[in-house]
Amino acid sequence: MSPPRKLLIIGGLGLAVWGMSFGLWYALFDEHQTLERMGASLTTGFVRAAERNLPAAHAAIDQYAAAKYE
Amino acid sequence: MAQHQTMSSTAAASASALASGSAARLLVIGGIALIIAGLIFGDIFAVFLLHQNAERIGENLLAAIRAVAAGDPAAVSRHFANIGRLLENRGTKVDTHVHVIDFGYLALLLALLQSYVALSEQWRRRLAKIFLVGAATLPVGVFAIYYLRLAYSPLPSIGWGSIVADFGGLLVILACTGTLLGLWRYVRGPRVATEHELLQDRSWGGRVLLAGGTLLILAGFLHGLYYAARDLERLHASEAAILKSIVQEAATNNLPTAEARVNDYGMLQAEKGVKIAAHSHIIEFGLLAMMLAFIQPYVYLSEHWRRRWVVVYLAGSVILPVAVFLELYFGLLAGGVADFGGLLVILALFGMLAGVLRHTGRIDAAQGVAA
Repeated sequence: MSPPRKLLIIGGLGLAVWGMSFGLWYALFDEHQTLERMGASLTTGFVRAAERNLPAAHAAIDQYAAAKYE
Repeated sequence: MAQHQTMSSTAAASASALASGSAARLLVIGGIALIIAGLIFGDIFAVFLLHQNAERIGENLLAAIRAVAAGDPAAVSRHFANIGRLLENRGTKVDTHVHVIDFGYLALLLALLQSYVALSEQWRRRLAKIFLVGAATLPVGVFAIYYLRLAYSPLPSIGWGSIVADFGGLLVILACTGTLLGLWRYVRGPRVATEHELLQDRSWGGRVLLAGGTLLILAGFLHGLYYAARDLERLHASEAAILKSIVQEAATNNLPTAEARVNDYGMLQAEKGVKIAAHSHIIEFGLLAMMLAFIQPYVYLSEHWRRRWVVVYLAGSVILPVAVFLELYFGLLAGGVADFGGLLVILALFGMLAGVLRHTGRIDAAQGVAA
């Protein structure tokens, strides 16, 4: 096996294992929490609007946007 | 005659790599089967769930802004709970589709690497089985998340569906790590460098799939570059601005404007979804084309049929992403064309799988005669 092929095969499979390990960590420790944060802040934004508290509504939507961008 | 001889010599060369009960055979057949299953699931999802789900999300968002205008926070929360469930339904279906197909790609990749994995055949077979069990378990778990929720779960926020999916993911990681270890032993060991016979295939189908796959990936990367440079920040900033505008208008009882902004929000989500889907599909079909190029010697069909399936595959790989992108302008008509593209890819994969099964059957029959 030529050195570039060695590097590409080992590197590619290493990247795949890294990506899947990150995915497992994300699914266990971050995904649900982030989704909950997004849902809660978006709901809060509309609930505050229903209570006629527009500054709080806008702040909650900013939190939603930040959580989604993460 | 010459064609038949070429095919026979290629098939004979690959026979040892795809011997009865070998890890490579398990991974090739399992990989193609996973990809076909994922594509069929994706088509069913696109036809029967995607658009209906988006419509119901829009209805609930409209109901929520009417509740905002009426000053009813409880109704707002109720409608957002519905939206959350609809998004979870959609998200878990997309994740199931993506994971099944990606594990199929990975299975084909691992099959190609088997001759470089310096482990006993028994261990390679064991790793292949662990991989395939994990690859089947994870998507089933992800699919079940929406239906099982937190029922009987030992954890406060993670249900049995997620636990099963994570276990499946762990099995896949273990199998890949084992393969990586075998590759490392090969690289470090005193082995004579040999070229994998399948990587030497220079048939028409293999060359066209390699070239087509490279072009598809390049097109996908260029589209991604354009999207990242021109659209990403704009779409992200627009989302927050539109949402703020919706709550502002609804809170001041300006419902017609608020509803118009909800429509803008729907269009924005559609634009994002369509552009991301076109980008990911074209790259994934390109990757699959390159891997299918390497398994062409396993496809025991006449040269005429092998070429036909290659053309059908590449046609579907172009039609689907382009039609998905055009959904922005032509709506469901383009959606129908995209589904047709998906169908072409599925047919081509079925055709190639039939060829692989014929090939393995021929090997088994020859071994039976020899025994």
